Amino acid sequence: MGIITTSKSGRPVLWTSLVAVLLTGAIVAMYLAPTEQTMGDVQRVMYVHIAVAWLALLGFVAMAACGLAYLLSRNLWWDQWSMATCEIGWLCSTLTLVTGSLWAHAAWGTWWTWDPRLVSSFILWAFYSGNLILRSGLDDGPQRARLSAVLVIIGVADVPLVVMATRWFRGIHPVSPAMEPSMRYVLLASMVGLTAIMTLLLVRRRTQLQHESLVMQLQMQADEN
Amino acid sequence: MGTFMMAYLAVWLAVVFYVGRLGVRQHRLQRTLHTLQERIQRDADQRESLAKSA
Amino acid sequence: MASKLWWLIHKDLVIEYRVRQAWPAMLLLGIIVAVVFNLQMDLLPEQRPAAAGALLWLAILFAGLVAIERTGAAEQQDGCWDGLVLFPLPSSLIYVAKLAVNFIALLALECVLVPLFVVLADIPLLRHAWAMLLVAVLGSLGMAAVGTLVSAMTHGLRQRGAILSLLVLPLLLPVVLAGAEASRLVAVGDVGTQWWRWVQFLGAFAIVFTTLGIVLFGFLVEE
Repeated sequence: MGIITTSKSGRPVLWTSLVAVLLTGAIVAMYLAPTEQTMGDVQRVMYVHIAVAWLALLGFVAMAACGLAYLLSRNLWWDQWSMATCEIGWLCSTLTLVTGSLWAHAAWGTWWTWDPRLVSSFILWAFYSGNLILRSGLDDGPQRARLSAVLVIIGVADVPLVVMATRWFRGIHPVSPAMEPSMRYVLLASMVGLTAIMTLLLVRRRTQLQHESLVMQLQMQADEN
Repeated sequence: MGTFMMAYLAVWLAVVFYVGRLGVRQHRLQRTLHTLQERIQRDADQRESLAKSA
Repeated sequence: MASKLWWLIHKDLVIEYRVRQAWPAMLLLGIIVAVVFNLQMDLLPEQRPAAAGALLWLAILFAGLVAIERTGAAEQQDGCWDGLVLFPLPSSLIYVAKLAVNFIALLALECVLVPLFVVLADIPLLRHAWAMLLVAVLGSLGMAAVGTLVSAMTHGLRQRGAILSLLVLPLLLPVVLAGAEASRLVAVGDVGTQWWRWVQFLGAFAIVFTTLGIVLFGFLVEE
């Protein structure tokens, strides 16, 4: 039982690093990055937006990989990773929609349009939410792990098809804009920083899930005696 | 700059929210563990006293 | 193997014929949705195919979901599902049988809805009947493949219907978009390379998810 009591000591480090990374990111994005010509300061949202969008996508692939690993190995350790990734991924996916919506409102004058990329990120969010809801309806254990693994695997097969269909639909083709090198560095730094933060949260959540299942097992043992 | 601040704030709030939730769950977990330990201890004591009286 | 498959399909079709548990609800919902959608269609003739194509596939999706949900729910009564899974059959065979039954239901639904849309929305979907048939068959196959798999996934859950539609709707967005666009092209009489690309897309979707279903179904039914 000693494993669970170590959590207090890690907290100041966690908090300090989170605050440091987020603040540095904001200062760099606000003052060091050059101002974009046509959109002006609004374009700075990009540094946050692209970073969370990338994390949402990465999280989905990682979640499916964990699901597959679970089905092959039948080790609930993988399911804990899958669950933690799902929560963090949902958070990033929600942030993608929120920051994207803010940007769209400032740049295009509308909160939402049916642009292919917007539809795709919305569908990604719907997959994350669906998986969370499916999980909430099931008890902790192998059955939940199996069902959720199958769902995320078919989800990950579906995402490329969603992207393809929405791009072909009515022939809209979005293009990636050219970027100044300094902007690219700031974006890269922002992506690395946010990825680090989310990975930290992911690892801690995974550990917590493991502890939760350990406590549950102890409780069942105590009930039996 | 306002839009950037809002987007940044959203990310900031989300991280704070998640860390807060982690903390709440950890707290709850520790409480469950504590009551469990007490229960196991009590059961053990009870068994001991039963054994003594017998 | 083929005879076992046939018996599994036959069993479900006979049940449907005797009890009528899913089809009437499915067809009625399809008709209601079609009529309600078309109430608001005060569009110019050249705008109509695009709108009607999308609405047709949304109607198929909603009504088809009812059929998939109800055939799945019927198996849950009196331990039918557990009995079925206990039979000495490969689980992929059960999947294919269930897929076939749902596929047949969707085709029946389309036999009603496509003519209904021709009448209500006044668009010539049946001018190139074979082209429309191809779109309908491939689209239904993709829908049934995903629907059957997710239906098995939600077996025994509380609020099964809600979770089922929640999971299926985003998964089937590509089918709805492709079906809508292919139907629009059929209605405007442009069954060329663009139409063919959407048909290939629907075919690819059906192949991908039927294969995934055959592979993954076993994981869903094991105890």
